[in-house]
Amino acid sequence: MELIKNPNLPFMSWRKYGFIFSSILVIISLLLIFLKGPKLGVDFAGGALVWVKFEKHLEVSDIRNSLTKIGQEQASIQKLAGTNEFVIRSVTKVDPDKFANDVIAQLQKDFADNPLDLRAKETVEPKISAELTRNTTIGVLVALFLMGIYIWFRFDFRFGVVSVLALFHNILIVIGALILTGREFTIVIVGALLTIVGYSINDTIVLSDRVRENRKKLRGIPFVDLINASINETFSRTILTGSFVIVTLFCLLFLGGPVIADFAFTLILGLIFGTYASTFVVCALATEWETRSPQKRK
Amino acid sequence: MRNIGLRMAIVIILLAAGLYTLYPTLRLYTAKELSKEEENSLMKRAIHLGLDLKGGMHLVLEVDTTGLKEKPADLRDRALEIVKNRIDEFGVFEPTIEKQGSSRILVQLPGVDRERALNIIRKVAHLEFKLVSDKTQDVLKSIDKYLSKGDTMGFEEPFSSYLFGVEGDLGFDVRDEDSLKILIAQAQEIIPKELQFYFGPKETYQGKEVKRLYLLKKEPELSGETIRDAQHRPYQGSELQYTGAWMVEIEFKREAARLFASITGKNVGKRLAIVLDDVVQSAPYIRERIPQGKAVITGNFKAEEARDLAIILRAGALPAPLKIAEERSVGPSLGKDSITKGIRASLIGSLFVVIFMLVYYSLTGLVANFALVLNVILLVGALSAFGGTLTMPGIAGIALTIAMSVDANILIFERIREELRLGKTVRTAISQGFSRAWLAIFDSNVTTIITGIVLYIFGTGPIRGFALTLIIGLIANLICAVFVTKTVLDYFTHRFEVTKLRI
Repeated sequence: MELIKNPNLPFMSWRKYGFIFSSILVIISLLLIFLKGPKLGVDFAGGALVWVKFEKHLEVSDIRNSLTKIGQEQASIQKLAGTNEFVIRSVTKVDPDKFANDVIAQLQKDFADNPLDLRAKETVEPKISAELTRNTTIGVLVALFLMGIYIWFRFDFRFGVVSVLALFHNILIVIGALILTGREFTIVIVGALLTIVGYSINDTIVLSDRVRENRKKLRGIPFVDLINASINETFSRTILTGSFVIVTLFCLLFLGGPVIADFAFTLILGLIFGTYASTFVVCALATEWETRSPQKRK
Repeated sequence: MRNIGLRMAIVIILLAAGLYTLYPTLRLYTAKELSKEEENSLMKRAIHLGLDLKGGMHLVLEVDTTGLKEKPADLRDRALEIVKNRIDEFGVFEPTIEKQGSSRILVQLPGVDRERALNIIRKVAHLEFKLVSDKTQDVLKSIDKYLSKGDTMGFEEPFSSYLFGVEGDLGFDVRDEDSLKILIAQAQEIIPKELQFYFGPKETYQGKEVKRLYLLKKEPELSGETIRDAQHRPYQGSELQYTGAWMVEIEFKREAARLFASITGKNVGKRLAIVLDDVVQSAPYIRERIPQGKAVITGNFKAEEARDLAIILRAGALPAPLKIAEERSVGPSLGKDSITKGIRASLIGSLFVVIFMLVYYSLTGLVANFALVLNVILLVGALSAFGGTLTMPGIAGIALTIAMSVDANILIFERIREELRLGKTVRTAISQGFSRAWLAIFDSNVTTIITGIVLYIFGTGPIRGFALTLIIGLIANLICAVFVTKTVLDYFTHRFEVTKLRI
């Protein structure tokens, strides 16, 4: 069986539209990041999260009334769809541990006839979250830098630079989408973002590898044609792998339970934009660079 | 290919080694009934479930050094030893207790009762023996006199009026605790310097929540560092109020035992209060000199409370209070949900991939599927062998490994198809396909391994689990997707003289 046979699509002649599309997405994402800002989870903002499950039906308003009694009416309360489970987050950063314990005690007292199961509890002191934020930022930057170096070393300088640019583009768009859908930034989401980085770079490498090979094989042909040929030759693989991964991820999204859902959602977005960015954006940027200042062929 | 037999043997050895390391895990989590011994021995060789899957708590404790002169790191080290001892006695399977930074302790306890564990860890457990002042009545009178001075309403007992008798002690309603504290602070200057008020724990007396009030000598006669052993037992004495309750029997070290004998000898007929973390647990009368260096802490303890108190006393007092800087607890119910869902989702996802590979690449897809299954076996086997921990993101890591493994085979098979299209023979096409795809596969796996290593270094908890799974998975991937697939394909094409490859 073969779904995609010898495609011969002029990808690089569409690069103008690609630039416009990418620019719009990046600008929207940047606006979202600077105007609205990401909704930081307990990990990065410090604070507390209490996740409880009640045996009998309750509404968010019942929980809110109960919390008002201990002066926590500001707390964010989220009811998990289709369940009797509530996730309560503190909005104050003062003594998260006390907040969590007070909330649990108050709920147990107010709903004494409705047994409560503590599903999870997280409290993070602001000092710890600040350290985590710093370490994570360093981690992400180190990962990006090392990958850029690796590609430079294995392929060439230009591909190293444009790959890292494409990664930034990809991560920015995913962050924008996360802000737009009101999802929280947790350490698990950062893990997902780094996984996207890994996947995208995998894509870029497969393509760069083909360009590296075709450069020797198809001497003398224009750079644009070289790139087009390489994208077309790897197109079948790109689509196949992408669909496999996306199937697995949709399974995780719908069947993996709430803990993994945000992780899977981020990965799916990252996969879609990552595939686009790591093939199309990388090649378009490389082509633009080449047309403006052609590299001497060895 | 002369060495094809050797390579095939390596593949079989890999498979056998994978299954061998995987077996304890399979047995542990699927067998219905296991003897305790077998379970323990399997647990040592099986993959561990992370806190997010099993339920449990992850704590970062910070030593609170306010007002203390010692270096935070020294205090931290002492606290670490004590926390370790307490948890050892508590009996948690495979706790993690380690230093973090200069003043923090990381504690991970799989599957424990959160409240009890917190109580044991956080209790400072500073035990002291202090004599009850025999001037209590006089001091109370003078406080009343002092506080009512200038009171024109003729209200003469502003302090004592809050108090009433509780089984021979003075007690008060817990709702009045704040008012009492204020009055004590106001009357501070007439309370003799060597004495201090202490409260007992909250208890129920005649349907009311009350606490007892004691006036004790500030200077302790003896403190808890001198304890050699502590055991909990059912109460056996004659006092009715403790019938059915538990008590803790403590035994002093030699020096302290001599001191205790002399204290009790000198103070026969007086009361000696047992003060734990500034709360008076009980204040029994000294009936005679106690020479054996033994004492009993009574109180209305339940068996579990008495046991926990004994643990804390045996392990010693913390040098400074511990503050919870970070806590992540997952209840056992959520853990159970996560694992069932996570594994089911991964299985269904993999099943899709396996069927698709089979349909798309027919028989060759079957070889790829074999490599894929071997990849997962090796991954889980390696995690078990290294004592790794499977977390929820770790399951996602396995899913990603599967994706990368499939990607490698797609890259190879697409190359083989290209070569076949150019009219090459089956064997040449296979050999060329592999060698052409190898560089891309190697580079892409290595870069993802780099991300994994960075994640492992900078990540915490579940992210580390993900990173570790990813790194091991990708190494297994480089072996399985390339070496194993090629060996099996070579073996069959040589053995059966295949001239047309169904791919």
